[in-house]
Amino acid sequence: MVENDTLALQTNNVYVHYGSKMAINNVAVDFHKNQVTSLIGPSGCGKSTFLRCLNRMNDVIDICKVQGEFHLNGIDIYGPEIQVENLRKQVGMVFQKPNPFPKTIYENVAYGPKIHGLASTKSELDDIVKDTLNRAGLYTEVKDRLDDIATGLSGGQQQRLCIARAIAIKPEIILMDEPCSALDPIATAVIEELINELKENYTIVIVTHSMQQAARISDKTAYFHLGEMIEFGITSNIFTNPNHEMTEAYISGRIG
Amino acid sequence: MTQHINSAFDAGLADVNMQIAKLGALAETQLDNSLTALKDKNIKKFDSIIERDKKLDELTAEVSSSVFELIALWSPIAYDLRSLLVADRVGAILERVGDYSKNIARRSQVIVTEESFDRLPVNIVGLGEHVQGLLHRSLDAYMENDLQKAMNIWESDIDTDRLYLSIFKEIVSYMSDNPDDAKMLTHMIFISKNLERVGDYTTSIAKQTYFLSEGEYPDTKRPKAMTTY
Repeated sequence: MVENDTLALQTNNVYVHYGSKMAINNVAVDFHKNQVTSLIGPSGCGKSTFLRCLNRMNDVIDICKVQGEFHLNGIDIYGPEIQVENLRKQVGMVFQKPNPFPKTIYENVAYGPKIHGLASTKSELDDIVKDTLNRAGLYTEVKDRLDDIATGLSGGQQQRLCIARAIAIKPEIILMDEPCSALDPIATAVIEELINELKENYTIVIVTHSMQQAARISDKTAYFHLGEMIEFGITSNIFTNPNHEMTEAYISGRIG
Repeated sequence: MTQHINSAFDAGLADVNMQIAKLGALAETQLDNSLTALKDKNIKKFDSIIERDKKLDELTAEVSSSVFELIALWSPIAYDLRSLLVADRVGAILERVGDYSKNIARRSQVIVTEESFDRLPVNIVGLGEHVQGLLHRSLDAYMENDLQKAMNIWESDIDTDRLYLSIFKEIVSYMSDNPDDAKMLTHMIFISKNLERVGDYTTSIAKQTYFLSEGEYPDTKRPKAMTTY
């Protein structure tokens, strides 16, 4: 198979400015289907800004100007015909802090499919909720309390519920912005295992500050520094023998 | 390579390097003492060489323990991880060099008292001095992380093989003419083989130095002169 056939999202010549300040400087990354790609780098390096470009989350920031090419299955996601709501259905997002709606567990998962018209009957919706919670590895734990308020779940369960909410509308790509930073090591391990399972069906892009997490879960890793992408490659190469000394210094905790 | 932000890890790495330096110095001393004692027929020295091998074993265990602790506590990656893995492997190699030196001392104890020992034309000490040079240079290459020095060692193993083969042939030839000396000559073959193995281990140190620097092993095959004789 030609590698281009496996491309889910292609970015090129990406520049992002906040007012006059350049946040991303000429970045190009190809995201392949059914792979996990980690974006790593020190705080302020632009990795979250870049992630938020991938489903146009930066559109809501007035002073933020995004330039460059973003092609999802060959279609320009910044094109005039693109409806942002539809884009975000295809490119879902999970945030740093679990943010379930203050509604029941069932309603949290059912909300997306309902507004996107993915179910025509209550029975179909029930099936989607059950299937989605299963995919998120949460169904067994919550099946007897689907009508409980979601904010009563543990932090790890809430984050898995947010992942369930993201996948309920059948996206192609899931963006994750430090999804485990507020979780304990056990909840983190459960989420990491879930990410490993989810990549069978989805393409995942994750921002993480944990080098070990990037090493454990991702197929490819991109290292950002001061808005530039310094190195992008196969994760095992990046963490055993990086090409760039700045990458080596960062991942090894050296004074760069 | 720049310092780590967390100086405690740098201190741990420095400790391991110091332990390896001590271990290397002791391994070199053991080899030197066993060859000198053989050359001088110094029977008293052999026992102390055999006894001192325990110290080498202890130091090797200390290196392993320090490496294990640093990996467990710091989860090092890339060059840092390689430097610890290589330190542990070089420690194990030096421990083996010590074992060979001890074995040379044990066998020498038996042969130096033989009447015909002095009449032998075999230059085992010459092979030993060649191997000592390799050991010293390979440790220098490792401690200085000098890729060129390491590759020179890697390529020079062929000289060790040639020297060993020449000695081996000499001993076999002498043995057919002097069957009464078979026991002593067999010990001499083992001593020579031990030295040839130490030579092999110096190339292993060179190989580890290459891995430390480049993150992969040399893709060229090591030049060898050994064939089954």
